[in-house]
Amino acid sequence: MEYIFIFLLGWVVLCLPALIYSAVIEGRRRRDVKQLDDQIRSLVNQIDLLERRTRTTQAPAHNEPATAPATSIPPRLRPTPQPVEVAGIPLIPPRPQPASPTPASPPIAAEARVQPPAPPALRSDTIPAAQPRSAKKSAALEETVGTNWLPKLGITILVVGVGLFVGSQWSSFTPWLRVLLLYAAAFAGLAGGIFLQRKDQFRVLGRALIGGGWAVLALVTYAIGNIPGVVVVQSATADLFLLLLAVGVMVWHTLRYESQLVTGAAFLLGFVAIGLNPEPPYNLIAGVIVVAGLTVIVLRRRWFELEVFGILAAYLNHSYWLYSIYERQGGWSPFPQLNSSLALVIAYWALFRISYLVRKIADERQESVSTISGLLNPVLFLAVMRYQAFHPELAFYALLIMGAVEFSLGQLGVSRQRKAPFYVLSSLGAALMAAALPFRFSGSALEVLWLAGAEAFLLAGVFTRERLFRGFGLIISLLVAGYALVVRVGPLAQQISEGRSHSDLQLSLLLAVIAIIVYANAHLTRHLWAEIFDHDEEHLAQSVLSYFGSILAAAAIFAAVPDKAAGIALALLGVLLNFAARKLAISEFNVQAHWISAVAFIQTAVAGSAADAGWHSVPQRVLMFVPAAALFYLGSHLVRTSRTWKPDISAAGYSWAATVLLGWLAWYQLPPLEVSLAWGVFGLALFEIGYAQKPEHLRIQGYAALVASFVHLFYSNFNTRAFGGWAKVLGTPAVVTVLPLNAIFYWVYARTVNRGQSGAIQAPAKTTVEFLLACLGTAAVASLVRFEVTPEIVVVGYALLTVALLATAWRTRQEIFLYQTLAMLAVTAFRISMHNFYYLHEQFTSSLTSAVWAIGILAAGVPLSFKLRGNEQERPSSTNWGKVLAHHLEQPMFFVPVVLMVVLLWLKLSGGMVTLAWGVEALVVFLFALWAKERSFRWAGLGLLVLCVGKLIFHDAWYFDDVRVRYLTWIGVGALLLLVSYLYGRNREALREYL
Amino acid sequence: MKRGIALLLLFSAAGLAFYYSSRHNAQSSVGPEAILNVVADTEREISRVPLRLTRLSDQGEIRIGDAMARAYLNRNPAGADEDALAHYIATVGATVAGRARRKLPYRFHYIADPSLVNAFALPGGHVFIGEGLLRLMDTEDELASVLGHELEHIDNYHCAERVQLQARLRHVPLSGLVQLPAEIFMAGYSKDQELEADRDGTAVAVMAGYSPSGALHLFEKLGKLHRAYVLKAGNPDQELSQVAIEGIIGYFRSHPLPEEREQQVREMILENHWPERKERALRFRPKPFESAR
Repeated sequence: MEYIFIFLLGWVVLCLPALIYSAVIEGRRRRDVKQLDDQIRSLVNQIDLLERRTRTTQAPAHNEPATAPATSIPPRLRPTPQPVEVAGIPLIPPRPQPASPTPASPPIAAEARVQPPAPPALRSDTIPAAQPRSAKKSAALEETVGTNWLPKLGITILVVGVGLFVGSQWSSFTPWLRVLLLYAAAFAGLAGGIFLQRKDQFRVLGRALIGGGWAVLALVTYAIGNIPGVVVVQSATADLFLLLLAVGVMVWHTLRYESQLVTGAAFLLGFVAIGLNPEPPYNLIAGVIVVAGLTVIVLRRRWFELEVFGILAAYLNHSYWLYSIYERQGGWSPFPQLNSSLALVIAYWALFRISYLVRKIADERQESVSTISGLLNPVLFLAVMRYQAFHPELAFYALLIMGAVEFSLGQLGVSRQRKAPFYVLSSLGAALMAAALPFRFSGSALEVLWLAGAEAFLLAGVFTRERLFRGFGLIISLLVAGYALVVRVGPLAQQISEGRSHSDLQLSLLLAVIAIIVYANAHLTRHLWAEIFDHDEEHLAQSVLSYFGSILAAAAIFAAVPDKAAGIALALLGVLLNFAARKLAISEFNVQAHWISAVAFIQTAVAGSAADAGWHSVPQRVLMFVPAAALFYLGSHLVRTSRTWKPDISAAGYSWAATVLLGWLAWYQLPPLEVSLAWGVFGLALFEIGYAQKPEHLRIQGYAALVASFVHLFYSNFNTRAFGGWAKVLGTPAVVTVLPLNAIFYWVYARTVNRGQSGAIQAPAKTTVEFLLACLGTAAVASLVRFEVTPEIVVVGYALLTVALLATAWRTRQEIFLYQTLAMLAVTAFRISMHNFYYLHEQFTSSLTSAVWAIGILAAGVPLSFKLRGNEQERPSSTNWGKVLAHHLEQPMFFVPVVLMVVLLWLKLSGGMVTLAWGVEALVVFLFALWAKERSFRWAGLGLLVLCVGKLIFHDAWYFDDVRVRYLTWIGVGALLLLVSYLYGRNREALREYL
Repeated sequence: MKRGIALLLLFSAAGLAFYYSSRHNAQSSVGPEAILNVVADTEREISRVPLRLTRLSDQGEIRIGDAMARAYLNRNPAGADEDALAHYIATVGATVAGRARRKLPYRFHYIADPSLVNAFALPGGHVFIGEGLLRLMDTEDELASVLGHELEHIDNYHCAERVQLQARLRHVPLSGLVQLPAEIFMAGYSKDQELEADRDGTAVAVMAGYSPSGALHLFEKLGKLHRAYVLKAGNPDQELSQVAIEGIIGYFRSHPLPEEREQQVREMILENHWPERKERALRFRPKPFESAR
């Protein structure tokens, strides 16, 4: 018994949308009628009022002598209400036209006046009596509940109770008695309902009783053949005929009430009856009969909403019958009545299609409803056919044929005459024929069929200018796209994340087709019919569709191509989207291109990390990274000139991705020793292109590549071994790879530096980048020296670098090199004193020789530093010691080697030889000071001499026991002092000039 | 035009460099050794003067070293059946130590631990050599070069300066330095110090009558071990992880590569015209490993 109720409940749920729609239409119709009725009454009342006023105005004139001409007031033209037809029912018959008024007509006698006719009586069974306007809302609600909802609810519960009663065990009643009693109850309900519904206040109650009576009648008729305890008819066929008879009578009866809802409910019971008795071939025949009958009624009464319900019920009923067959036979497989079933479904389609074509349409709303049924019919037809299709290879031909048939029907004269069928059937036919091919190659995916239906709705909405259909089309498209995302793309994504094989060409084709259609719905329609798609909701739906389309397109690529090529394909898609965005000015394409390109980058990077194999001796990684990078660069160019959000930032993102890929490729593919050089060359290329093309991000990438190349030197190039003399140094891998890199650093610096006109020393460039680049070059050379030569010889290299920087500063007039000279001078001095001097005692090192050479080279740079002095006006006046020293380089360049030599002599010599050596050094310093005309140098020389004298007096005289050393020292220092004095005297005039 | 020519020259120079590098199949190890060397050497150079000024006295150094050595030997007692080998090592060490500059009571200890492929020195004259390193040797000259290397760490005040540095870093008075673990002396010294110890150690071994080839052969063996067991990065991901790991743990491990040490010794042989001497085989060796029953 529960089975029956579940079945009934299922039917109600399935048919509920149609029923609700019918009820809504019905309600709207009644509301419209009510409003019209009220308007008419209001107008009539106004006319009455005016006529009374007119009569009142004319009455005094009627008693006066007829000297004054009566002011004749022509009778007003009475409004002639046009006949209003709702659902084919004429509500107000046309009223007779009043006589034309004549000017200066004599006063009309009151009795000759045409009395305003009473408002026509409205059909009481369709239009409820107009409620007084003064009825309070609460009273109206209470009345609605009591007279409308309660009867319906009550009869429903009653019928359910009767149903339960039917299925229960009646121990003391024979089946025939039970049947009689039940039939009596049914007829009693019917009779009572028919009687009560005649009265206005019991109309709803009466109809509820009628409906309940028929429901009980139908239930009992079914029960007499199927329910244990009340079975009196043994033959299912006979029971079916009885049921159909009962339904037929019921339909005939309900027609009297001119209500689609009621008649629809009757038909519902008919379909239920067929569904409950799925015994072929009778149920099939009965189905055709019921559908044919419904179609006739629809055409005659123009109850097009009822047809929508009928289409749903017919196909769903048939689907249920198929389901029960498959359940019985234990699986989805061919069954004996397959051909009959196919014929039946085709008959359904044909009947409804004929109904669609031959009907007479009165207004736009009827046409809209007809379009719904016109589209619902083929959609459900295809769905049911799919459910019973066991030869998928024929689906392609079936779609083609059906598409051709629909298209051909659209070209008929009767279609063209009404226009809407022409548009709808032509669009439908075209959509079906277009869907045939992808349906075939996508493994008969249902999404294709749904999309064909969506396209039909959408195009129907475009051509008939009906927003509802366009909405259906967009909603179905969204649903299909969402379904595909969940059911198709979700598992695909899981396979990808788990690293399983996910190549599926059928799936790829399906997703691609859906994506293309979705994109077309989102953008092509808006482009072609912009004036139609002008609602915000439609724009929103199309925007969402567009993004769905991008996800589906990306998923199609993942399903179609191997992982190693997916990145390139996605990057290509990104480029196409960017191109389309720029060409069509669609900003959504830019956003989609951005996220797809991001996925492409990640895919390329991840897949490329593990791609160690080669393809025809070309590394796979190269084949992956290079095309992807090229596409990203192209995308950057396209984005830069498009109307996306922050185009410069977006373009920078693309180019950074490409640059990172290429840098990464070099890191993977090249030996560690060559990576830095490759990055340096790459950085140079980026810089030059950025310099020429003006996009700043390319230059910044170039700088980044150069910095990275410098850092990488310390992790690879400087780890090579070149422990030996100069001949070996020049040919070591580090030298060979670092020197060109160095040249690149300085070249890029030179290109960015700001050159002055006068040739004076320029202040360091404000930008950190230029400063960094200049330091990178020098740091690279210094590092090369540090790592590639013997530790003791490092100072010689440092000293040479110091002088070279000095020469560069002199040549280029760039202040940065002055600072670098100063820094290298400090480093050299530190290295000499903390390293070479420490190992002076080592007999197996060249610390002493190297120290001497280094000091000599530094000293040789002093004359050059004088060239940088310039004149006093050019020197900056500043208290910054670093700046002062940098602009007076001759001072540190002189004093550092002098002091170092003093220390070296002290460490290496001993006894009086130190004093003598210092004295000689002082003489050399003094001579140099005279040549340089530098006072501080002269003072340095004098200072050294004083130091010699001091050491002689306070140390040598007391600690040296060797007499020879003592007197030699004293003689030597004395001679030096005399010589210096001579020099002072000889150059006195010059000294006075400089003092 | 000029710019174009200059660019062309730059690219050509780079291309030639690529060609040269590929043709010579130059190899390089990827790691932070270069940076670590620079940092360690710079630290040593900066601290050289202060360390010299605050240098421990010989007596102080001996006292601290004796305490450390006692503590270490308590934890790692020598095997009772290796007396002959220990005595042999001490004899060779004493021969070499006779040429050292500083006259300290040098003592040489044998650690019977096959996993200790290392030798280290403690302040005051204690030199330890592990069984693992001894098993690599075939000649007495190799042993002499190792012992000479370690005692030169003492002779050149490397150990003493390490003690002074640790005292400053741990804020521990000198009297508390006896608690320092011996392991801090196992990690090695800066590249300069190692090369210095190589130079002086080889020199004292040669002056003691051993062949400089002993050092060469030992460096060759160490080089093979280094190439065999030190993980070489095969791709950028491994390079990054190797740099990170070695950067963390390798701060004091600034050993020069065996090839570099070998090169230095070869140059010393050439410059000083050291005669080619026949190497002597080891008279005592560690006992073979017991076979599984």
